[in-house]
Amino acid sequence: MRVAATQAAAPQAAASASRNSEGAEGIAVPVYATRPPPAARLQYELRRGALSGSGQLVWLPGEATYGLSLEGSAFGTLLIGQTSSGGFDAAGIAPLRFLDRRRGRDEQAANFQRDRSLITFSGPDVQVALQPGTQDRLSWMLQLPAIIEAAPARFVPGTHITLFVVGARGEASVWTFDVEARENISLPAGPVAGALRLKREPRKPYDTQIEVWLDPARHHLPVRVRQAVSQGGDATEFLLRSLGPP
Amino acid sequence: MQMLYNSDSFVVVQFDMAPAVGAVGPLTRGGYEIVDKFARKEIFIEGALAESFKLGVQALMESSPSEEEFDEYISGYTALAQQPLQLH
Repeated sequence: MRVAATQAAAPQAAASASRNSEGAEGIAVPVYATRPPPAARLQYELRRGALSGSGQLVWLPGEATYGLSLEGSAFGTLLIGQTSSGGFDAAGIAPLRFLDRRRGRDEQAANFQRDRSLITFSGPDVQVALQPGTQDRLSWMLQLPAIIEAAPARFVPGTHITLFVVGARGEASVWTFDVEARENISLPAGPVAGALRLKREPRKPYDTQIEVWLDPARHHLPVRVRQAVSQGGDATEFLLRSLGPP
Repeated sequence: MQMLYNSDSFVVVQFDMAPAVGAVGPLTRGGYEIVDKFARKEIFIEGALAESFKLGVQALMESSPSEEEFDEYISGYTALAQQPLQLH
């Protein structure tokens, strides 16, 4: 069994010099104070290229545990189906299990084995060292609001938020979100004033580029999300249609 | 009514029609309106044809199709539907 802290140790380049943790990427991942948003159901309009559909993000925080799901579909076909469940610790949202299913493919899982400080996967025979604050590819959407809600005055344009993020197929990397601007945007749900736009640039081919707009009037929940894979296909965009209780 | 697709060539809108009060039979009735932007024609498909259109789209979506591939698939339906119109 191969133990890999990240998959960033690309065969080319100097990255192979160090395969340890984020050291391989040279970025320290801080632990942030957090204040998770209250329970919510966000309905989105989904767009991918010429396709339109609908999406839904459901956030169910409890006293000690949480449930989170994201679905997106178009033409009656599931494009994105992800769930994350777990609890909370000193670093905020602490996932235990992440499930990812897309377009009818087999469901893939990442299991956060907190007693062993390891993350294992249903598919690839890879282990990732579990570090404080590690998020899955869905929980970051709530961890970002939780970090900003805890210190809204701190995260002004020009600052950064750095997370260690793992997917369900053994992929793991440091995601640095640059706080880019405050913007007034127009959404199906209506106008949003002063949405905080954060951007994560892809760092290698087929890496994920993300732009997310967080609404300060809605607990900094994501009111617009744009995800693209560099050099690969159309971006998927979620635009808030409505927000209500779950 | 829901917009499903909007490329440079085609628009596809889904219609879900509620059954008339007291109606028997299928619970809902609906279909797709396809607008061919270049030919300036619109067609409405329903029933078995709408179902086969939808199944074809779903099969196509398994392979992350490009817009060109989508347009080509849709053009198969608009071409079919335009034939009866030429009889007039």
